[in-house]
Amino acid sequence: MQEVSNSLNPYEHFSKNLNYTFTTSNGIEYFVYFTETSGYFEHIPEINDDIVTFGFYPLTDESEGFFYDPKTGIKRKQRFDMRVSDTIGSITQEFLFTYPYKCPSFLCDDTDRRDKCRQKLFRKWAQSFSRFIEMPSTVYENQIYDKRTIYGDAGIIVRNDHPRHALIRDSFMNLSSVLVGKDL
Amino acid sequence: MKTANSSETSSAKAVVDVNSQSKASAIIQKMKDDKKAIKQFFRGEISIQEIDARGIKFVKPI
Repeated sequence: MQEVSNSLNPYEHFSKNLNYTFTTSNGIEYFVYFTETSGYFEHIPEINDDIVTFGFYPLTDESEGFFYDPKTGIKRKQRFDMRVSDTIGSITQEFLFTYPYKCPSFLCDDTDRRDKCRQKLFRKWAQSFSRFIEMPSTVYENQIYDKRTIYGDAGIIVRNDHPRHALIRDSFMNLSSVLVGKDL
Repeated sequence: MKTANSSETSSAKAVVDVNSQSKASAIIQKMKDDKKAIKQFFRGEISIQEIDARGIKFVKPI
């Protein structure tokens, strides 16, 4: 029977002012950032200060699907690297440990029409984090829309012991209703 | 790299767009524009001054 690991196996990562970088075994460099929300949620003042924006990217576009294999000298299709998600999970844990009252939010990038894939992948990661996360937290997902258009999928991570967990959850899940109400 | 003038132009355009869009649309557009700018910053394509000019603030260590 295959043994299932119950701990993260992150790449070594480096932090500078809460911006993180790490390099995969294929030489792909990633950065991970956290920003204040720049007033995205100013229409919900009771949670505006609790939410930060979280994101990550590889430093080069070509690294997303393929990598250069020095053994063969050709570009090979990228293998799914679980250590990338472990590293993102580890960094998120570090952030939630340092800032217990901050809730990282994310908007799935749709510039290449792969936003649904990203949302699905992030959900899978979040479920796997819950196996070994030291600070239990919950990921909430929501679609942002108004009367005419669906704009995209967003999510938020809230520590389970956050004193205003329910308020943040409800405000986030009702975000579109509030925004539609503002357009009246 | 964008010039200071082009930043001013895009900021002015953003204000116009926000006024003509729904609140949801404006917020999502700003989120997407900010994500794009952050990506450009980490790739060395724009400066920290341009990030500041957009009102993007990285979380500071305690």
